[in-house]
Amino acid sequence: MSGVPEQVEPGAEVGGAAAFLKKAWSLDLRSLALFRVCLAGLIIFDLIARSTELRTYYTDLGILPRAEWHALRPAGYWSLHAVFGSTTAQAFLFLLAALIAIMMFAGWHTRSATAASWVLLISLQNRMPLIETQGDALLRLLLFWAMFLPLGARWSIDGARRGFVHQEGSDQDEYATFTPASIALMIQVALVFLCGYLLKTSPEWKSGRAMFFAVNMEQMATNAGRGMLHFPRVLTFLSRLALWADLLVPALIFFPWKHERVRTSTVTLVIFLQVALGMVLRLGLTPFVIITAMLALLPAWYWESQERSAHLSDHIDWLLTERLAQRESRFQLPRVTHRIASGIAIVALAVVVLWNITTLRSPATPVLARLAQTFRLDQRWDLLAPRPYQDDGWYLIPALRHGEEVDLFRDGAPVKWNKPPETEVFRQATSYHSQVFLAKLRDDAGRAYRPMYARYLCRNWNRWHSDQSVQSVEVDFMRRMNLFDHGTFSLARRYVLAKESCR
Amino acid sequence: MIPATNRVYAWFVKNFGMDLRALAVFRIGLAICVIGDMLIRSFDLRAFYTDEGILPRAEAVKYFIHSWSFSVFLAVGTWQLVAVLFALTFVAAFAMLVGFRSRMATFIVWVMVISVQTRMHGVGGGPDGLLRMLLFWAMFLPTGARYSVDAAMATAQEDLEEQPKRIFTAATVALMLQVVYLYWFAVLLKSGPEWRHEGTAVWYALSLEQLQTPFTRIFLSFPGFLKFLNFFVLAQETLAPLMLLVPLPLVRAVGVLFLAAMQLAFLSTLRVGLFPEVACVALIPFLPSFFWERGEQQRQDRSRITIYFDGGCDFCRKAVLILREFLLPRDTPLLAAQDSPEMHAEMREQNSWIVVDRTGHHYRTDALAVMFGHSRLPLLWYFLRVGWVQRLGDIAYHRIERIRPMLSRWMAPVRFRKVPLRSAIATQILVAALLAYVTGENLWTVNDQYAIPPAFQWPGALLRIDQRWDMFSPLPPRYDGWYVMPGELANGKIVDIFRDGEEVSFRRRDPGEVAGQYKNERWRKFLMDTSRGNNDRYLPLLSEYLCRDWNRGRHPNDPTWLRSFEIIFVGHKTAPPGGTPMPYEPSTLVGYRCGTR
Repeated sequence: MSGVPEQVEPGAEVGGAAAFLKKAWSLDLRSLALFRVCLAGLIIFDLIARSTELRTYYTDLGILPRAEWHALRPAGYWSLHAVFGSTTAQAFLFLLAALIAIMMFAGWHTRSATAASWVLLISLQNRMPLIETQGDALLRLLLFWAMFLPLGARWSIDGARRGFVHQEGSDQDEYATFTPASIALMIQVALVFLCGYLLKTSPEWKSGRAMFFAVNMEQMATNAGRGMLHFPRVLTFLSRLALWADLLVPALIFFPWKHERVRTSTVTLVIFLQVALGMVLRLGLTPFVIITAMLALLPAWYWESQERSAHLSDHIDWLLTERLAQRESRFQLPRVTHRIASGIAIVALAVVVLWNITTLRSPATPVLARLAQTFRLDQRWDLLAPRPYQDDGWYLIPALRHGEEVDLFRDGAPVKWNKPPETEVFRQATSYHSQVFLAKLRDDAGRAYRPMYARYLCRNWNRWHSDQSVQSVEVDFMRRMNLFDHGTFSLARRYVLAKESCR
Repeated sequence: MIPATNRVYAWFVKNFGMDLRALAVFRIGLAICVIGDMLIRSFDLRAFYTDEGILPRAEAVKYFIHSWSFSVFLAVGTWQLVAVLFALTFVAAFAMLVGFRSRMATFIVWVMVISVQTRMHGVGGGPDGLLRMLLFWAMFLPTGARYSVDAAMATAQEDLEEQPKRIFTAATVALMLQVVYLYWFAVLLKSGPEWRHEGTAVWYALSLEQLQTPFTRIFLSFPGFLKFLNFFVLAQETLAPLMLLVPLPLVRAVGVLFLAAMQLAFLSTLRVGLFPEVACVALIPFLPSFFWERGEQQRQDRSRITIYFDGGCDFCRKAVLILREFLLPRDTPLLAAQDSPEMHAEMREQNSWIVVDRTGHHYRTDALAVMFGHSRLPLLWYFLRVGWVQRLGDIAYHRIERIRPMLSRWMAPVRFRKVPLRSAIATQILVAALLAYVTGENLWTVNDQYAIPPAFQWPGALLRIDQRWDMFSPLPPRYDGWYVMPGELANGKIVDIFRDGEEVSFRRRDPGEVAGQYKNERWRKFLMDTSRGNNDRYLPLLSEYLCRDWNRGRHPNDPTWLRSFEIIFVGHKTAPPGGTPMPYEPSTLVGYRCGTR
C-alpha cells in the first residue's frame, strides 16, 4: 500500500483507435467555410438561372397554376411559393432568398440564414417538381446537413464577432469538427456516388458506350460534347472513369490511413471528372454542386501544407477580426440544443440511408415516405442511369391559326416536318431548366403536365400575339432511336403528347 | 419648434393622445384575444385548415381567395405542418403578451391572423375583422413602451424623467377613428325598417334560438323593453363614440364605460364568438391617464422598497428589471448587492436576493410577495404569504438558482435597448394614407356610389384592411332552426351523422338543444350561413368532408361505412313580437353519395 495507484486509463488501446478514426473522419472548419461560401454562391446562381423563367414555372400564369399544382404534387410537399400566384410576389420571394444567401455568404447569423435558405429552396423546388434534377436534390440535402454544422466558424462575421472560438462538439483541435452531423455529411456524399454506381446497371455502362449515347442527344449535349463524337476513345474513357469513380470515391472518402493525401486526391479526381462531364453535357449547376460537396471534405492537411491557402484563410479571418472584434458577442447555442440537433441529425441520417436502400429495391413504407417528402430528404442518384436515353428528337408545336397550321416553336412560321438543323433543336430548350422540362415532358414523369403545357403555350402565345391568336394547339415530339451499332438513327416518328383547344 | 406649435401639440397629446400604459394593456389584451381565438380554431385544425378538411388548397385558390390576398397557410396542407404554423402563432402571441420585441411580435401575429382568416373565409365573421384591424394599427403604435420586457430593458439605460406618458401620432388617430367607425358604420348599415321604424330588430336577434344563451329567454318576455333597447342601441352606438372624441378625459372615460356595458350585454345574451371581448379590448386605449394613475400616489406613500440583486448574474439583473416594470413604479431603486459590503455578505449568507421595505429585509418567495404587495395586484401578496405556497416557491427558487448560468445564456437575446416612441414622418404619412383608405372602404359599405375603383382595391385585399361592420344588418336574420343529417350506412341503417350516429328524429328540439347543436362559434357561423343559402359553393366541399370525416379509420367493408346522406335544415321564420310561432319545416340543402366528387 505505497502511494497512489498508477493511473491507468481504461481502454487506452480503444481510445487510440477511436482517436485515429476521429482524426481521419473529422471535417475541417476552413473547408466548411469554403463549403458555405460555395453553397451560398450556388444558391444565388440557381436563383438567377431560374428567375429568367420565373413567370413560366412559378406563377398562376405559367405552366402550373396553383390549383393544378395541388392536384398533382406528392402528398407531403409544401411550398411558401404557393402562398402567392402573382409574378410580383414570386419575384419578391426570389429576392428574399438571394438576400438570405448573401447573409450566408458573409457568415452573418449563419445558422439562421442556412435554415431560411433551406426552407426557401425546398419551397421553390416543391412548387415545380418536374424540373428538379440530381443537382437540385443534392443542393437541398447539402443545405439540410449544413444547418447542423458549424459553417460560420471561420471566414465569417459571426466568427469574427466571437473571436473565432470554436465551441461545438468537444474537440481539442481548434480546426476540427467531429459530430454526428459531420459524419452524416460524409455518408451523404458517399451515398451519391455509391447509389449512382449501383443504379448504373445497363450494359451500355459496362461496355463504356454510355457517354456516347449521352452526347448524341442534341438537346442535352453541348457543342463541345457534339465535337467529342469524333473522339470515341475519349468518350469511352470518360464512361469508364465515371463508373469506376462512383465505386471508388465512397471508399476513398472513408479511407483512414494517410487520409490527408487520399482525401485531397479524391477531391481533385471528382473535380476533374465533374468539370469534364459539365463540358460535354448540359448539366446545369449539377457538377458544381457535387464539387461543392467535395470541398467540404478537404482535410486539414490541405490547408496546412498549402502555405498560400493557409495564409489566405488566416488573412480572411484576420481582416474580419480587425473590423468586427470587440462587438457584442453572439448568442451561443446551449449544450442541450446541440444535443437535440445531433439527435435530429442521427434520425435524418437513418431516413436518408433507408431511403437510398429503397431506391435500389422496393418502394418506401408510408411513414418513411412521409418523413422524407416533408423534409425533402428523398433522393435518387440516377443521373444517366440505369442507361442514358437511347432516343433523341425534337418538338413541334403545331397550332391552328384560322385554319392555317403554324409552329409556335418556330415563331409562328408554317409547320415543317423534316428535321430542323442541330442548332435549332438545341435552342428549342431556351435554358437548362427548359431542357430538363422538355426531356421529362416526353417521359412518364411528365405525362400529367402535357395538357397543362399545351394550354400554357396557347395562353402565352395569345397574350403576346393578340392579332394572330391561335385556336388550338398540339404538342408533338418527333422521336428517333439511336441505332448505335449501325452508326445511325432510325426514322423520326411523331408522338402527339397533347392536343388542347385554346379558351 | 415654435413654442406656439409646441403648445398646440401638447394640447393634442393631452386631450387626443393615448396613454402608453393604456397601449401596453391594449397589447396584452390583444395577445390574449389572439391566443384564445387560435385555441378555439385549433380544435378544428383538420376540418378548416388542411387539405383533408372542407376546403383543400386546390379549391381555395380557385374561387375563395382574392388574387391579391395571401395566406401563409396555403404553403402547407398536412395537419402536422399546419400545427407547426399554429405553434408559431402561439409563440409570437406569447412574445406579444410579455412584450418581447413587441413590434416584431405584433407583425408576426398580424401576418398569421390574416393568414388564418384568409385561408377559410367561410368560418370568418364576428370578431375577425375587428381583431385584424386592431392588430394592424397596433403595429404602428409603441405598445411595448410599458409593461413589457422591452420596456424593462430600456429602463436600465434611459433617463426615466425624459419619457412622456402619452403620445399623439397618426396611428393613435387611426386607432381612435377605427373604433369610432366600428360603431358609426354599424349604425349606418342597420338600415332595415325593423331597426329604424318598427323597433323589432333586437327582438328578432334574440329570437334566434341558435344564438341564445340562458339569459336571452328572460329578455324575450319583455317585448316592450326590447323595443326600447332597439332604439337605445342605435342611440348608444351613435353617441358613445362621439364621447370618445370629446377632448375631456372624464367624458371619454364615461364613453368607454357605456360601450363596455353594451358589449357585456351582448356577451350575456348572444353567442357571437369573441366579439364582445375584442370590442372591449378595443376600448382600452381610450382610458385616460387619470385611470392609470389612480392609487399610484397612495402606493408610493405607503412605503418605498429597495431591491438588491446579484450584480454578477445577468439573468438576475434582467429578472428584477422585468419584475419592476410590470409591478412597481419605475423609479424603485434596483441595486447590485456587490456595491454595499453588508448587503453582499447578507446575500451570500441567505443565498437570495433581498427586498427591503419598512418592515425589514425579505428573501426568496417572501421578497416576491412583498413586491406584489406594493403593486397593483396585491391579491397575489396574500396568496404568496400562504405557508405551503411559500415553501414550494422557495424550492422553485433554489432550482432556478442552480441553473442561473444556463438561464443567463438563454436570456442573451433579451438585449438592453431603447423603445422608440416617435415614428418617422414617412410612417406617419403612410398611416394617414391607410386611414384615408380605410375610411373609403367604410363609405363604400354604405353606398356603392363611393365604391373604390378596381385598380385601387389591392391594398384592401393584400393587407386585409377591407372591412364591413354589418352584424345584424341591414336587419337581423329571421330564419332559425336546426340540422338533421340522415345518413345511410353500409348495413342499411339510417343514422343522424350530425349527432354522432344518433337515431334520426325530426321532433321539435328545445331551445337549449338548438343553441348547443354546433361544436363551437366557427361551426355555428359557417353552418348558419349555409342554412341561409350563403355558402352554396361550400356545399359540395362540405358534403365530401362529412363523408371523409365519418369514414376516416373505417374500412369500406365496415358495416358502419357511410354511403350517402342528406343535409336537412328544419327551420322556420321567427315570429314578430306577440305573433304566433310559425311551424318548422324541413328543407333539404343537398343529397350526397360519398365518393362522387
